[in-house]
Amino acid sequence: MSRHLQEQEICRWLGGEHSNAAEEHLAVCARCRSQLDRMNSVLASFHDSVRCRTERQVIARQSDAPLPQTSSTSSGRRIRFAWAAAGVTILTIAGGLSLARHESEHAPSSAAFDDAAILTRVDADLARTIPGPLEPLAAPIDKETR
Amino acid sequence: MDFEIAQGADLVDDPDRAAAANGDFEAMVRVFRPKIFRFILASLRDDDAADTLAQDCFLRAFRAWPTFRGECSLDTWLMRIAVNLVRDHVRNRRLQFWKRTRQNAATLELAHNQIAGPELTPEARMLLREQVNAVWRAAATLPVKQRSVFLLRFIEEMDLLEIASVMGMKEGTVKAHLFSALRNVRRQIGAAV
Repeated sequence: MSRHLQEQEICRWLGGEHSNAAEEHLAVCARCRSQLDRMNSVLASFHDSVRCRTERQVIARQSDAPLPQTSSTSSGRRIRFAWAAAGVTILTIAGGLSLARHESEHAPSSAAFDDAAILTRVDADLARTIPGPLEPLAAPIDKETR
Repeated sequence: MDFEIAQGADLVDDPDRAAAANGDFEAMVRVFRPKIFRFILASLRDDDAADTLAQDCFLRAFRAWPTFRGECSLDTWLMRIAVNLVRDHVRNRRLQFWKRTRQNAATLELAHNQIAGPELTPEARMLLREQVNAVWRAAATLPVKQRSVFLLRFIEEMDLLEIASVMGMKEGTVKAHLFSALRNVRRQIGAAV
């Protein structure tokens, strides 16, 4: 190839497509070689400067940026825990209310229950004062009287 | 493939990489976040958006992790998510993006000391700096696919097959985008000097 590299060929070369014809030309043409060297140098400087520029920001932001996994899982766990806690609370309240309603409907009121218990106890006491026919007297005479 | 071998060597050398490959998500974030953040930042040139999209990238990866079958490497898979996020971001906020790019153009100029080459004369260094800034500016005006291909090639140093895998394109299409991007960039550099 005797003519200089065209724009398209230079771009192809820079992009990594190295044809034999271009290679042969570059071996003998200082002008095209310097053109490519200059462009490669600009691209290398671009690479270094962008990396250098972003590296500082990466380090600065990495120190205070929360990990997505940590934040997502912990927040996910927190949300799930909150929902579970809310569910348990609602179930507890609902269960309590239901039980209370059930007791109020089917069980005797606490006052009635107390009365019944007292009557039962009185009955038992009265019954105890009258010994059964086969029951021996437990303490016919007080210890003190004896 | 060379890439596979290189990755295998990395796994042996870097316990974090090995842990990431085994599904340790925190290790994955530690290993790949800088690369993902850098690519998004270079694509959008917006620190806050890059930060948000990098987070989104790993959140998506976390959700999609059960579907990852290891058909490509982990960083290719993550980079694919990042490329899609950048594309969606640009598509959804096209007007705001270009407006912001124009407004922030001055602050995005590269610092003087970021241009390597202490052996260069002050004039040569100034010229190189101007050209590098021109590449920056040119990259910002490229269509999003061209820009992604260009940055993956020249910032992330991926080969064409890797880029094709990340972008979900054929190798020939990647080449076409890359050559167009280079032509545009060269045109901008020519105008800058």
